[in-house]
Amino acid sequence: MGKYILKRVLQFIPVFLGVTLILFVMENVVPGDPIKLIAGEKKLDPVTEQNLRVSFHLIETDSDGNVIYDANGNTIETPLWKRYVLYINGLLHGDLGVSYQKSGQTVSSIIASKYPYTVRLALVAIVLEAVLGIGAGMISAIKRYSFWDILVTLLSALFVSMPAFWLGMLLQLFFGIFLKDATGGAFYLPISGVAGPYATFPGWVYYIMPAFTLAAISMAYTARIMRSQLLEVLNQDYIRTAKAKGLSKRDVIRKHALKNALIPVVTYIGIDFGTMLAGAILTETVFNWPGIGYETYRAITSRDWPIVLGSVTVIVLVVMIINLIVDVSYAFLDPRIRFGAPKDKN
Amino acid sequence: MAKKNNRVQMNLKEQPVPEGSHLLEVDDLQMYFHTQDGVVKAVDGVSYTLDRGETLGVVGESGSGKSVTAMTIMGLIDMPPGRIEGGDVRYRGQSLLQMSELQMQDIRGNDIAMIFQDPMTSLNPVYTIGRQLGEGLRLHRGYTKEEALKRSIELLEMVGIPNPEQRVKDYPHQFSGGMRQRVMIAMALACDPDILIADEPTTALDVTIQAQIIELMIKMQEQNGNAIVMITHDLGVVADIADKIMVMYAGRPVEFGSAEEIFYNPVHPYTWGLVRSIPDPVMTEKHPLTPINGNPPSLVNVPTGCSFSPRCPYATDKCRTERPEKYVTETGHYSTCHYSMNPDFVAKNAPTTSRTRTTVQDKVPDAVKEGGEE
Amino acid sequence: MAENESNTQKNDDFSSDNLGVFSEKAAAAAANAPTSSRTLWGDAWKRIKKNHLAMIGAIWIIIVAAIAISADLWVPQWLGSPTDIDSTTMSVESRMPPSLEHPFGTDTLGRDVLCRVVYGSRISLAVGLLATAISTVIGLIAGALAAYYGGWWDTIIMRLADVFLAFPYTLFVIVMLAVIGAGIQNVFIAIGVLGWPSIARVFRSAILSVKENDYVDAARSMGASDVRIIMRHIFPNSVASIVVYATMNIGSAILTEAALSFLGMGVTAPNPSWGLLIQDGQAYLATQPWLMIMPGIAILTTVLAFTLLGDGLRDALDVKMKDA
Repeated sequence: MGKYILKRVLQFIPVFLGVTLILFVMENVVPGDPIKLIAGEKKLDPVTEQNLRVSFHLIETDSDGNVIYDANGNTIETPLWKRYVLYINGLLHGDLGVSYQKSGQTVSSIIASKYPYTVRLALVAIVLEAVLGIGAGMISAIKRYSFWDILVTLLSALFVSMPAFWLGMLLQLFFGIFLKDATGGAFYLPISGVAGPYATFPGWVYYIMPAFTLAAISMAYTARIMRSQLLEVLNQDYIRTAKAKGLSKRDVIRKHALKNALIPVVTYIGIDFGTMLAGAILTETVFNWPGIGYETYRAITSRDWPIVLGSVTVIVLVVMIINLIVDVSYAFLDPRIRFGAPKDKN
Repeated sequence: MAKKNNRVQMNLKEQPVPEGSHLLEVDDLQMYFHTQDGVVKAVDGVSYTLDRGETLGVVGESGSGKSVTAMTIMGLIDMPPGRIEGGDVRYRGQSLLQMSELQMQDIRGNDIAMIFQDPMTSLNPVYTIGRQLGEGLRLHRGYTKEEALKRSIELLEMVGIPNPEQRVKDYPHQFSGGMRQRVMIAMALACDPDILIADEPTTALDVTIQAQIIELMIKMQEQNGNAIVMITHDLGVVADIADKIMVMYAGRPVEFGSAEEIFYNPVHPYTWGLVRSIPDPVMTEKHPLTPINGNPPSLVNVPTGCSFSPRCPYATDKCRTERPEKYVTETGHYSTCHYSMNPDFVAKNAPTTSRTRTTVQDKVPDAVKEGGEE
Repeated sequence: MAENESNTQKNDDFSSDNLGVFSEKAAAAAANAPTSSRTLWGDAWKRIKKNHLAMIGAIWIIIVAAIAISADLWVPQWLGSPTDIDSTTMSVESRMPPSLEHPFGTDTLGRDVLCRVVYGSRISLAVGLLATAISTVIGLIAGALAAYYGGWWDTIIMRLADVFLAFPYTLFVIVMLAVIGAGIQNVFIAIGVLGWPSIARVFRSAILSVKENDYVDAARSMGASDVRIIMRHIFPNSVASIVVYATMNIGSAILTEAALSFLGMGVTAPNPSWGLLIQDGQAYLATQPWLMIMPGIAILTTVLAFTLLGDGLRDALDVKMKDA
C-alpha cells in the first residue's frame, strides 16, 4: 500500500503544475492592461505606474529590484514563462500577490479571511449529506419497492434535477418570506448572510438554509449511490453464505452488507467535501454568504485577476489534497488494495 | 427452547432421532415460484432420506432443480415469489417447513450447513478469514473472540491449510481458489453440523484440485460423522463419495438408488445418458463422446407426459401423454420411466457398464447419438 | 426506479427485501431457458417500455423539443415577443401575476413570461444537446486513443484528464467564460470542452474491459485492422454505457448553462435563457415570485425528464451488461 500512496502523491505534482499553468495562461490571455484595471479612471503619474508594473512583475528588474532598460531606453516586458516561474515561486512562499482593486490587501489575506466561512458551511452541509443521504439510501435498498423506496427515489431524482440556486431561492421564499408573513413574523428563517453583531438569531440559525441548499443535491446523489451499492452488495454470493450460517437479516445487513456498500459511498462523500470547499459559488451568491465562492465571483465580475487566480489556485489545491486523502483512505478501507495478491498457488 | 438476545436455541442436535425416523427426511417436496411469466415448478416431488455418515449425491443439469431443493431445505428461498406447494422436510423428526425464521436461523450453520459453488465470491472480501470462520462459533455457541480465534486456527489446520496461525489473519483474496474452498468447508463444519450440503463445490475449480476437495470432504466425514448432500452436474464427481444417488430432471427426481444401483444398474434413459456422458479415459473411434441432445425444458411450460420425452431416444406416444409414476423396487431403487420395470427394455438399451445388459454392444445405437426416436 | 412489480406480502420488517434474489434469478433463468436469441436493443426497448417513469421522461422531452422547434409558428401571435419591448404598454403590463391572458405573468419590462420560458427552452435544449455532443465526441476519441494504444498515449491523455478533473467543474466553467467572454457560443465551447474527461474515462474503461475479451483477439487473428476492431467490436459493446452517460450529461449541461446565465456569464439579455430569467426574478422574490418560480420549474421538469430517461436506459441496458 505504501507504493500506492507514493504513486498517488507523485501524480499530484504534475497535475498541480498543469493546473496552475492553465490558470496562469488563462489569466494572461485576457485582454486589458492590468494597470488600467487597477487605476480605473484615474490617471497615474509615470513613476507610480512604473512602480506598479514592477510590483506585478510586468517588467524586468535585476536582483536588486531596479528596472532594466534595453538599448533604446525602454522597459522590457517580462516574458510569460518568467512570470509563471515567479508566480510559482511566490506561491510556494505563500505569496499570492496583491489585489488590483482592494488596494494594498494581499490576496492571501483576503482568502484567509473568507475561506473559514466556506469551510464552516461545508462542514455542516457534509454532515447533513452523510446522515440523510446514507440513511435514505439504506432504507430505500432494504425496503425495496415500498413506499419509502419510491419516495426516496422520486425525491432524489427531483433534487438532482433542479438548479441548486433555485432551490435556495425557493427556500428563501418559503421559509424567509412566506412563513414570516403567515406567522406574523413569529417563525421564519433569515434569508441571508451570517450572524453579525446585531443579528436577530443565534449564529447557527443562519447556517440552516444555505447548508441545506448546499447539501440537497449531494444528498440525493449519496442516497442514489448508497441505494445502488447496497442493492448490488445484497446480490453477492457472500451474503448468501452469511445467511446460510444462520445470521439474522439484520445482522447480515449490518455486518456484511454495509461495510462493502459503504466504501464507495464514503469515497463519494469525501470527494464531495472537496467540491463544497470549492466555494459553492451559487449557494454563497444566493445567500450572500461571505465565503470564498462569493469572493471569487465578485473578483471575476470586477476583473480583479490576482484574486481570481489566487483563490482558484488555492481552491484547486485544497480539492486536490482532499481527493488525495480520499484516494489513500480508499486503499486503506478496502483490504483487496491494502494487502496484495494470493499467497499460494492452489 | 431458550431465547437469547433475540435468538432461539433449540439444541436439536442433542436430542436423539425419533424411532423410525431418519436424520433428514424429504417427503414429496414441491416448491413453485409464482412469477410474472408464470408458475415455475422448480421442485416437483422430491423425496429422499439421509442418516448420519451417509452421502447423497444429487445429479442433474443446470435448471434441474437440484440447487433450489437444497435452498428450500435451508429456508433460503424468498417465499414470495416461492411457495411450498406440498410435501415436507423433516430434520430429526421435526418439520423444517413449519419452523419460524428465528428457529431456522438456529438450524442454519449449526445443524445443517451449506457450501456453495464459487469460493471466489462466497467469502466477504472485507473481513479476515479468521473472523468469518469464527462468526458461526460466536453466533451459535457464544464463543468469545479469543476462543473463536483459537478454534479457527484448529479448523484451518484440519482442512489442510499450512501455516494456519498466520493465515487466519489474511483476507479471502489472499487465498487461491482451492484454498478458499477448503476454508468454506472449514467454515461450514465449524459448529459440527449433522448435515453438510455442498452445492457444486468443485465446479469452479481445476480438475486436480477437485479431487483434493472431495478427498477432504470424505476425510471430514469419517472424522465427524456428518451426512453429506453432494449436488453436482457431473456424475463422475459423486462416484467416490456417494452412498445413494438421486438423478434430477426438470425439477423431478427421475431415478434414485444406491450408488451401486445407479452406476451398474441404471434403468432410466436420462441416467443412461449421464453415464454415457462421462468421458472415457480412452477415447477411441468405437467409444466417442455421447451427448444427450437437446436442452432442458422450460420449467414454466413443462411438457405433458414424461418431462424427458422430447429428448428421449426411446420415447413412445405413451411417454408423451402420460406422466410416469415412480416405479419402485424392493431395495428402494425407483425410477420414473414407463419402461423401467421392463427387463428386456433395460437389458437392450442400458450402457456398456451396466451389469444387466445381455447383448454386447460396442457401438452406441445411432438413435441415441442423433437423438432420434424409436 | 419504481417498476411495476406486484406488491409483496409483508411478514416481517425485511420481507420485501431482496436478500433472496438468488431465487428470483433461478426462477428467471428457469423460466427463460430455451428461447431464441434476442438483440441487446430489442430487449432493452421491451424493458424500458415497461418503465413508466422513463417513458414519461421521454415523452416530455419530445413535447418540449416540439414546442421549442415550432415556437415561431404559434407563440408570437399568442404571447408576443420574447425579447422586444413595447414601451407603450410597458408600464401597465409589467409585473402582472399569472392570468388567463398571461399564464405565467409578465416580467418587469412587460414581456410575457411563458413566452420567454418557451423561447428559453430552445437555448437550454440546444446547449444541452450540442455541448454534450461536443464533449462526447472529444471524450470518445480521447478514451479510444488512450485505451487502444496504451503506453504514452494513455499516460498523456489520462494525465490531461486528471488535470481537467482536478478543477471543480462549475468553477472551471465560470473561470473559462470569464476569460473568453460571455455569450452563447462560448457557453457551448466551455461546457463541451470541459466535459470530455469523464466520458473519456468511462469509454476507456469500457474498452479496456472489452479488450480483454477473447473475441477481440479472434478478430485480430482474422486480420481485422485496429479501426475496424474498434468500430465493429468494441464500440457496440461499450455503446450502452455511453448512451446512458450522454443522456445524463445532457441534463447536467442544461443545469450548468442555467447556472452560468444566472451568474451573468452565459446568455446575455435580452435573450431568454432559463437561468437568466431566474436571475431577473431574483430581485422580486418577495413581490412577484412567479418570475423566479416558473423558469425553475421548466428547468426542473426538463432535466428530470432526462434523468429519468437516463435511469431507465441504464436499467434496461444494464442487466445485459451485468449478465454473466
